[in-house]
Amino acid sequence: MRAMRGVAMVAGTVWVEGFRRKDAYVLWVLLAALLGVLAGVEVYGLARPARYVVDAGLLITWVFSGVLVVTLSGRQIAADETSGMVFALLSKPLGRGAYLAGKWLGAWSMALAATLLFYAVVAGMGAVRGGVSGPAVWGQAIALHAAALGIVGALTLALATRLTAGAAMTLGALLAVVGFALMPTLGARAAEAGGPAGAVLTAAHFALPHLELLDLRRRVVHAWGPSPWGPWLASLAYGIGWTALGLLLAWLGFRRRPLRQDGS
Amino acid sequence: MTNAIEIDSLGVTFRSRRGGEVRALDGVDLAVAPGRIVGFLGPNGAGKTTTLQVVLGFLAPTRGTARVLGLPAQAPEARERVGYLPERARWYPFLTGRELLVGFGRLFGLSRRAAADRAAALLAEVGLADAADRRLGAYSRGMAQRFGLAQALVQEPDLLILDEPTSGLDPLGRMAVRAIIQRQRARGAAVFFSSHELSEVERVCDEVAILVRGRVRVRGRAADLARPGESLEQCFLRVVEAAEAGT
Ligand SMILES: Nc1ncnc2c1ncn2[C@@H]1O[C@H](COP(=O)(O)OP(=O)(O)OP(=O)(O)O)[C@@H](O)[C@H]1O
Ligand SMILES: [Mg+2]
Repeated sequence: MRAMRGVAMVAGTVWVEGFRRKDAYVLWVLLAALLGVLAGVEVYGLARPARYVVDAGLLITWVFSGVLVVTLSGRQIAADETSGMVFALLSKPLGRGAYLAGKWLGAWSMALAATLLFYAVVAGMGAVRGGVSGPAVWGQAIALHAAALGIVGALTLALATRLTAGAAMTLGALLAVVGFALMPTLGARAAEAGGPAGAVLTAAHFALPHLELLDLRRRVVHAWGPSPWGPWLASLAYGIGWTALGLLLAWLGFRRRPLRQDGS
Repeated sequence: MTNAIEIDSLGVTFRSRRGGEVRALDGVDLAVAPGRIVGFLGPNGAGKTTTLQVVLGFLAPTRGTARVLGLPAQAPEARERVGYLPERARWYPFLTGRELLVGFGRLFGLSRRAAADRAAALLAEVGLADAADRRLGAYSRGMAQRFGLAQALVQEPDLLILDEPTSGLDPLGRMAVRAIIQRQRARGAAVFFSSHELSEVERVCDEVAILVRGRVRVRGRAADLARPGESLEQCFLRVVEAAEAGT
């Protein structure tokens, strides 16, 4: 109970910071960019169907939401350490686990809230042009997207327990890009490469999260209808499992780590 | 009665990534009795902050032990009863003093109402009632330091640990800090604080401990440590010089 309160306090602080500092403006800029691009698609493709708009919009949504969750979760610990806030917080009845959980929850929920805004814009623009998919597919896609943000946020936070904010964000972003762009073909590449290179690729295939499993964009765009619930639930469980693993790694990285104000 | 702080042959060695070693603490022995005000003196880099951070469980000792209110320093239960003012803290600039204090009160399990009442009382106690709803980022250095005292007192701690509480304060602010520290002792709390303001320490402390190069060289009542006719400042210089010549 007390721990939950600590988690809520830390997460709430992440939100307040986001709103009172420049971050909220970043969101409006991103939204404007999204609208601009989608409007551009409209202009160039007068007769084009809704799926072009939705396709472009969802791609941008994924990129933006990834950027948000990585920057939000990557900077938290280092900022608290250089300001000395971490000492004030942890000298109170707030365990390191609750502190980390609060930071993750704050970063994830904030990135998710922004992502929902993006989805509303994209779905709205799609609907204006005739729509692509029903609410069930959108709901499934958003839930898996949320799980993907959970993974990236947790892993970035884990990196941030041991690295500078810049390094954690860079690696977190790299992980997200690799998770999407390379993971789907990694198995095939490993078989093709063979030898030690193949072994490395095979290891990566199993050791890194397959974010592509959480991406239902094609199903939304091409109106394939809802995913069967079994595989969908399995994907969701996969996302939650990786998020839990990321949080566990963060806790292991932070549990006993000496804290220091110079941030080195 | 168990001591508020009990430190035995405490050693802390920092290892840099390049393989260098800094022996910050080299066998510190120290005790703070309940209801006492103990000043912790020492030149820059002596290891005062490092000692306090071990006592608060932020650092694990390389050697030796630290106990707080009869509990191991790392024990979560100790956090319930210890108040801490960190050295050089920059409070969340985007929150108001009141908001952050309410948040801290919630960490101690206070209801929203109780936390708000406590925050108001604390802000008044440290003379920040007028600035309660201003952002912490707009506080002056002295105001931030007063806020730091307020946030260390949220739960009326049994042990108050202050890292340079008077640094950056004008004479009025220093008087206010002295009054707060003395009120805490009157309540029965132990106070352990590091400082470079020797006259301040002389005025308020029951005991002092002088740390030089990671070791407590002398401890006891200021009046007993100083030779006849010697001020605490002269005593401090003598102890530091002797210790530096010896090691
Ligand atoms: N995280 C760290 N890594 C390496 N060395 C450190 C670290 N923290 C402190 N030190 C070293 O340990 C020694 C003691 O530092 P500490 O901050 O405890 O001194 P201090 O007595 O508080 O000094 P001051 O009066 O300047 O606040 C110094 O030599 C310092 O450089
Ligand atoms: Mg210090």
